[in-house]
Amino acid sequence: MFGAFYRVARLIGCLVLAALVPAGALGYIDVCDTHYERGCEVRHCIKYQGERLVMLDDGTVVIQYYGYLGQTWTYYC
Amino acid sequence: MRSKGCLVLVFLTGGLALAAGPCVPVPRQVLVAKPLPYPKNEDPSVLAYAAMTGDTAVDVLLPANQAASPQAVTVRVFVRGKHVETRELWLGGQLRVAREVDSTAGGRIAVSISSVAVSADGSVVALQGFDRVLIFRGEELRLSVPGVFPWDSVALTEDTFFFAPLVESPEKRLLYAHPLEGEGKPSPILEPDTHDMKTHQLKLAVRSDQKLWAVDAFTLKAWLLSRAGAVQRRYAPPDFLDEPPDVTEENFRALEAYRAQAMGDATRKPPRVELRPASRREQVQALTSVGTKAVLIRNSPHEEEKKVRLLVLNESSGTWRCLLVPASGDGATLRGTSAGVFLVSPHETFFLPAELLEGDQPQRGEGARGGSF
Repeated sequence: MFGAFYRVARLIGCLVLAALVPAGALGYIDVCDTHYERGCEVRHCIKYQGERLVMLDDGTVVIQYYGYLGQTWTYYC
Repeated sequence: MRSKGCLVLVFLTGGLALAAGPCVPVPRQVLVAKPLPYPKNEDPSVLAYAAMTGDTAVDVLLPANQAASPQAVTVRVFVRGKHVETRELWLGGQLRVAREVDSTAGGRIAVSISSVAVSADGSVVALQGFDRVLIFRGEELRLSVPGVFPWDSVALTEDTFFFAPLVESPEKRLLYAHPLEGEGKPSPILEPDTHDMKTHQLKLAVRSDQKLWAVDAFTLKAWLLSRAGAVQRRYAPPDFLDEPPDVTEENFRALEAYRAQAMGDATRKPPRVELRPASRREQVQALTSVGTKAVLIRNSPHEEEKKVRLLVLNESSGTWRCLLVPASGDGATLRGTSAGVFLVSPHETFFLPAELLEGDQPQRGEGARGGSF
């Protein structure tokens, strides 16, 4: 019973999220590079949930990535 | 001063007995307000970065309105808090990639430097960009190494640049060393465990004796390496912490959204898309060295508590200790010296004297005491 309720709630949650996130914006950031392999353009991306510039108490800054999701390789041949 | 000393003594002798859970609470009274060994940047028109190794610190300054495409930066070197040198580093358009990011101070800003690093003697400085790292000896550009690395994943000795990529597959290595002199190429110096081909990335911290701490941000396995990169000792992760959950499936779902977007690009022939989701969450927020110890901030699953979990690895005993510091850990970093460690967050700066990091902690299993892998 609870399992079915959970699945329905999760589906509704996904639908609400899909409606809120604009098309093309996937809610994460990419750090990408492009190279060529055997005549194919290869776009390699490291994906995080976000990045931010942190202003520390000493007045210095650092860029922090957070929420590492994984990596993608896209082959255009 | 005497009362602070007494508090430290009470903490050292009685802390273990009072500890609830695996982390020993640090009383707020023993945290010391001490000035950092470099000046605070209070000029909003200047963007400043800082790095420390042992008792050497640098700050790297540039006009905030040139943050997206700086032509040059000013580096000031401090040894034990004393300003000893100023250098002008000419970038010559090498850092061409800028990213616009959210600032915790509000708004968005385009920057082309993400963080900086310094060698223990202050002679070598690295500027991390978003497509490469520039390494200078004095004012001379020695290396331009392509790649993007999170902060604390690059390190410098006087003659070697170390960098640690994200590893999701067996063909990559955990750690590379690039000599600063000659025409040498990066050489791999640490291989991933073939029995554990999940996500790995090392955080790095150079000690004042130029040995290198490397801690896997995803597993908390640790290595001590010589200045040339030879493994001297391996350390098992602390066994008093719970194993983080496998998150492969939820990350795969997040990446599937990207696949759908790439396949839906009507302007190009549909590509082949390969996804490698991260299998676990990163556990290390920042790493530094204090004397011969490695000290790290462990990402907390309980951020609402406003506590920082510091893990301390003792080189000789091989044991870990967990301290619970009453401060905000969100965005915080560590700056280690021979005398202790500064915990610098967006809202406050504390100094924890090295004596606070001493002591052992009960371990769950017999094998964890001085454990290796």
